[in-house]
Formats: sequence, C-alpha cells, structure tokens
Amino acid sequence: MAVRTGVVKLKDQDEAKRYAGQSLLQLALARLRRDTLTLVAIGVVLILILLSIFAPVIEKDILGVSYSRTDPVNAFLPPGGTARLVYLPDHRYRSQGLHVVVTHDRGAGGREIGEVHAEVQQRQLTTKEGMANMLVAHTSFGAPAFSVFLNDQARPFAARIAQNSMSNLLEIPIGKHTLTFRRGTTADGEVLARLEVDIQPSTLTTAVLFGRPDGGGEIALRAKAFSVNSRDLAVDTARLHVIHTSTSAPRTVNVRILDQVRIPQINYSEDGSTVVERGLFTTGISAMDARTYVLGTDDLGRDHLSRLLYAGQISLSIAFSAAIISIVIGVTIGIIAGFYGGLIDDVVNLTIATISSLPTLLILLILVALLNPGPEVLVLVLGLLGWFGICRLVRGETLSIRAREYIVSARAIGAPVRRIMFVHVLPNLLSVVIVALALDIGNLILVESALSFLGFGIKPPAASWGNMLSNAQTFFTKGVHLVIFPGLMISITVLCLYIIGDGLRDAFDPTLRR
Amino acid sequence: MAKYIARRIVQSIPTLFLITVLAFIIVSLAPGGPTASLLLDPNLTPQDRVRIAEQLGVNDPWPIQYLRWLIGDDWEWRIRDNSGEPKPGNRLGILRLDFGYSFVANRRVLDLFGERLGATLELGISALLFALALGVPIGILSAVWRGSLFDNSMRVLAVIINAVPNFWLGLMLILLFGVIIKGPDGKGLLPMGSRCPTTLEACPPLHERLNHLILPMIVLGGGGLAGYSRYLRASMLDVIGQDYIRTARAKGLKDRTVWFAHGARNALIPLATFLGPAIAGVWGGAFITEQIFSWPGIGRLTLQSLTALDYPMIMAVTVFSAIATIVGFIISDILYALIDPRIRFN
Repeated sequence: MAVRTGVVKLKDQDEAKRYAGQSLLQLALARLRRDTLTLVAIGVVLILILLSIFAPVIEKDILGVSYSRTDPVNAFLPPGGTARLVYLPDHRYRSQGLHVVVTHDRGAGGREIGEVHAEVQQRQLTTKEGMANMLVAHTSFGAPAFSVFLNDQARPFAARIAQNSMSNLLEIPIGKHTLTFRRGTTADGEVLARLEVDIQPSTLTTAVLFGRPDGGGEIALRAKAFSVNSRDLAVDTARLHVIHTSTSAPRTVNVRILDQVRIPQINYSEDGSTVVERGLFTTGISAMDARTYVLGTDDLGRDHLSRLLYAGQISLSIAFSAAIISIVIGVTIGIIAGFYGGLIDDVVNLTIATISSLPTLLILLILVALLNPGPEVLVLVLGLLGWFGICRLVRGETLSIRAREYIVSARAIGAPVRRIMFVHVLPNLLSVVIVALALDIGNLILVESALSFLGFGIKPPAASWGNMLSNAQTFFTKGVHLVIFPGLMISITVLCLYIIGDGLRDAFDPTLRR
Repeated sequence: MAKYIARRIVQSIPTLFLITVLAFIIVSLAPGGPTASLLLDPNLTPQDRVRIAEQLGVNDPWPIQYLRWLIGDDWEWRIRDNSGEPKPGNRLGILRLDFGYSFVANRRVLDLFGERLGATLELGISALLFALALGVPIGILSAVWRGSLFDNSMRVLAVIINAVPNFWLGLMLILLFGVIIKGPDGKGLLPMGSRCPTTLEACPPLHERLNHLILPMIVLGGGGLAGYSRYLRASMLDVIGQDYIRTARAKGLKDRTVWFAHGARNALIPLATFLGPAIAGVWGGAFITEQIFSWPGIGRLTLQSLTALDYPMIMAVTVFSAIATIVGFIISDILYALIDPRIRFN
C-alpha cells in the first residue's frame, strides 16, 4: 500500500536530495536500512519467533530431550506390582498428600485409567549418629534386582533393590567404604558394579545404576556425592506407595504426581564421561533419560531450554495477537472519534478517562481472576483492555490530518466520508500504527508475564516466561538458572521491541528524535 | 482557585460513578455470581441457602443490587426475621463508607484496609521519593551534558529499566543482595522480604528497619526513576532553548547559575503534572512488589482477595484505586495551576 498523500518529513537537505520523489514508506525503509541497532533488534525478535515456532523440532531433534507438557514425574509400574517412590520434599513444601493419576503409557497423551491408591507417610528423615544418607536408584530396563553389600560383608546392606524402584534411601556409616552391587540377594551373586564412596556427615550420596534397554550388557554405575544443608536432611520424607492392582490394564502405566514435591537432584550422563553440573534439578527418572540438558532442568525434571522455547511460543503469540486486536479496535475507534468529534468523541474520551483511572494491571487481575480464562480468552481480555493508548494517539493524529488541505479538498469535491477515512486518513496513520504496534507488543509481553507470574494468566503445566518465574524464590540456593533465564528472555524480547519501535519512529519521522 | 478546585471535583464524579458501575458489573459477570462461594458451603442446609440468598438479595435484578451496594438497605424493610416481621437491612452502602464484610476474613473491609494502609503508604511514598531524588538530578544533568557519555548511558539505562519486568528485577535484586552477597553475619546482606524482622513484637520504628525497605523501594521506584529522568531531560532541554536563558548567559552569569537557578527551577514545573500518573503507577506496581517482597500492604491483600474470590474486597479495592488515582490527578492539576502562573483556571 503506497502512501499517496501526507507530509514526508526529512532530516536535512542531504536527505531531501537523496530521496527526492520517494514515498513515505520507501523513505522509511531506506532509513531503516542504515539503522544497525534496529536491524539487529528486528533480527533478534525474528530469531526468537523462529525458535519458538520450531520448538518441537528443536526439542526432539536437536536437544534430544522430551518435554512432557504435563507434570512429568513418571514411574513405570508393572500390573500387580508395587512401586515405592521416596520423595524428599523441599523443606518449604510440606507435602499435604499426593494426587496420583495413572495413565496408559508414558507422556502426556496417555489416557487416564483411574486413580490408584496412594498413601503418603510423613517420616522424619533423621540420620543416626555417625551415619549418612545415600540414595540408590536402579533405572535399568530389564535388569535384575540387586542388593548392595558394604565392604564385602556377607549379608546385604540393602537387599532386592528392584528395577525402577526409584530412590532407595540407605543409611551408611561415615567413612571410606566399598559398595558392591550384586545380582540377587546373596553374597555370591554376579557383581554388577563396585563403588568406592567416601561418606561425610554432610553429604548425601546418590548412586544410579544405568542399564541397557534390552536388559543385558554392561551396567554402569555412576555416583556423585553432593552436600546438602543439614536442614534439608531433617525434612519430612513423603513416602508414597503406589499400588497398581488392575489386571486388565496395559503392561506398564505411568504415574503422574500432581504435587509440588521435590527431590534433591543431580544430573548424570549415560556414558559416564561427564556429569552435567548445570542442571541442578532433575528427578530420578530424568537420570534414567541420561540426557545432557543445556540449560539444566527445572524442579520437575523438565528440560529448561525447551520449556523456555515453548513458553516463548505462548508469550509471543499472546502478545502479538492481543496487540493486533487492540490496534484494530484502537485505530477504528480513534479514527471515528477524531473524524466525527462531537458526542462520539465525548463518549470515547469519558470511557478512556474512566478506565484509565484504574491501574490496568488491577482491571486485568480482576477480570482474569474472575473469568479464569484460557489462553484464547486471555488474548481477548488483553486486547479489549489495551486499545486506549493507541486510540488516543490515532484520535489526535486524525484531528490533525482532518484539518489538512487534501482532506478539505477531498470533502470539497464531495468524496464520501468512508472514502476519505479509508483512502486519505488511514494510510497516513500507518507510521503511528506501526510504531505503536511494536511498543504495544513489548508492553503486552510485560503485562502477560506479570499476570502469569502472579498466578493469574497462563497456568501451569502450560509454560509462559512469567509463570516459569512463579516459584523462582524457592530456587535461589539450588537452581539459579531457573530464576535467570525466563526473565532474561522477557527482557531481551521487550528491549528489542522497544528498540524497533524507536527505530521505526525515527525512520518515519526523524524530526521527532531529540 | 476555589472555584477551579470545586469544578475539578465535580468533574470527577461521573468518572467515579462509572467506576462503581464497572466494578459491580464485572463482579456480577463472574461465573456463579458473587455469592457462589458463600452458598457452596457444604455445611449449609437448603433452608439456610435460601435464607442467605434472600438476605444478600442475590435474586433481585442487578440495578437494585447495585443500588443496595451504593446506598445500603437500611431504608428497605425487606428481610424478615424469625417471627416473619420485616426489619430494616443493616448495610449502609459504600456512599456511607460501608464496604461490607470480607467473605474470607469475615471482618469489615475498611478495617482490613486500615491495617494494611500504613505498609503500602510507607513503601509507596519512599519509592516515589527515591524515584524523584534520583530521577530529577539525572534528568537535569543529562540535559545539561546533552550528548555526553553520561547522557547516553542514562538514556540506555532508562530503556533497559522499562524493558525489564519489575518482578524479575526484584527477584534478581533479592538473589544478589539476599543470597549471593553476604553481610557480616553470614546471612544475606539485605533481608529477602517482609516489612519487619521476624519477631513476635510489633514492628520497630521505620529507621530501625530501613534495610527491609531498600530493595522493594528500588523495584517500585525503578519505573518512575526512568520516567522522571526522561521527562525532566526533555523539559530541561525545552527550557534551555528559551530566550531568557540566552539572556542570562549573555549577562555573563556562571553556567552553574544559569542551569540550576534559572533553568532547573522552571524545568521542574511540569513535574507537578506527574503526581497523578505517579500515584497510579506506584499503586499498580505495588501488587507485584508487595507480592515478591512479602510486604504486608494493600497490594498483597488484593492479590489474596483475588485468589480467594473475596468479592466485597475486590469491589472495594476497585473503588479505592479509582479514588486514589483521581485524587492524585486533581491534586497535580491544582499544584500545576498554583506553581505556574501561566496556567489559567479555565
């Protein structure tokens, strides 16, 4: 759409010569091409959009992680089997009972086949004098159950640690020991692995046995001691027995635990070469995946990077669509109010004045708290409450355009009002609208993230940059990456959009620059 | 002057009236209506439910309910007591400052507000002062040293502060000063939240707990700081370009006298118009700041009421916010007119 009429503003004489005869749009594009900062900002935003669009591909093919959209604390249970999950909740989260849902198979797509009997015992995790705690997780598929022998004693220290029985908490005397992991429960069983440990009073040691999915082959043992605060050791242990009793059920089921229960976490890599230290938060099951998590995992073992990308999908699409809605409404009402004036103008002004006398965040909070909307309705709410600023701008601009000669002449030759509005006024609003759009998207990202941060916008398990920070305060000591990256994404995106808005404004009208 | 003030107050009445209508409609639109949570109590018998619904008048058309909320129902002999005798209602209506009882706390809304007002005022005023105390000099100096490194870095900083979500700014500050940087006692340098040190006694006076105030003040004042500095820079540039400044320079006055005695005094005048938006901004930011820092103010109370769908509280918060903002705008208009004789009261 070429801008045929209107006032082209030029920086100086040089520019006047260079761009003589060009339309406003051509001129703006030419100026933009020389504005490196804005170009970089546009590039960054485009990259972010692309990354979030291709989040599923990046997640599966490049990162090689699977990010379940539901809470992914998973366990596999054979029918009739009993699994015991030991959770060490963070001391801030005293578990108040767990909600357990059993689904057909692993992942979010599983059909729910009913709730299982779940029993939560609160147990004080206190260590005896001279002992320390050790977690043993046996995560190999098809591998036999094993026992742990301490310093080649005849009797097993811990017998029959079954496959996927998750974390077994052992109390081990302080000092240097050799732990032998043997098949079966007797001292003559095949040695699966040996582990030299140096148990300190303040360490909680974790050993994880990895096996090959076919059940045979090497079994690697990785162990890592990590120090814990003494207060963490003194927390309640929620001991959950999940009993899968249905005989007609599929072979394995997936247990999803819908509670904020936390496990002390470590990352492991399968080949044993590197222990990824960055991911402070993985669950025991994530240790089975044995993946490298570029930005670590969150408290539920989900890959942080892919979650950031999915969150970007939601945050960006909400901001873009809400901005478009509010621009359409704002421009329409602004043109009408500015063009006709009179009663319409007064009503619009009163409406804007009324709603502007409340902080926008408060209105949004009230609406969102009462309506409890999904993402689609949230877009509508944000869009319907976001048009005041652009409306005021467009109204002012229309007022000034209306007084110009070409409008007067168009009226004089009897052009219909609709034609004047669409052909003569609207194209001249283009620069105002485009600039406002860029700034609007930035502001909407901020507003949406604030709402989601406060727990009112996008609700988990869906991720948005805002709600990924909701529990951030609990990760200050354990997983700083969970606090830093979502906020960094918001800041970079909004900053780039502001830069783009400024750059566009300068491109359309350099006289506005101060 | 008195006439002008009176007119501004009268002008704001329709706005306030519309706000009350808006608050009422929004709350009535809520799924199940405002009393759904009250009537859901499983301990109630069906008769109780009918009685409560009748007492609250939830089955009446909403204009009547709105009127009751506005002016009370003590003039209406509507409710029947146990013997079937009609008796007057006990609500006075918000026009007589009766905002009803909180569903959750079961206490008068105004009492709950009164308890929290001090904390919010303390935080809001200090954030405003912080923003002014830093923003004004930064803005003036940026204009004086226009184009310098200081000017450019301050402008970049202002854009960055606007782009960083303030809840994340708060989180990062807590992380930095509450966790990473240790004080002499081995704990974080500054407390991670709340208004007072945790004691069972009452809060000590403000000067003994300034360390609790620093971080929330910075977070809440950050946006204002960026706004003020940018605004004052523009205003100062306007002033510097005017003829009387050139005259002052031509007279041979020192640069410093010209800038600060002649320039800054006039550049500060438009600041008066900022009071209204500033109150709205501080109030809007208080929700987030108070939430992050566990600050026991009205913002946090509001969020709790929203989570619990405590309708009387929500409606009262809406009305109070509107009053606070409108009063702020009126005061700033009046201030502006008082300070700047070029403004006429018409």
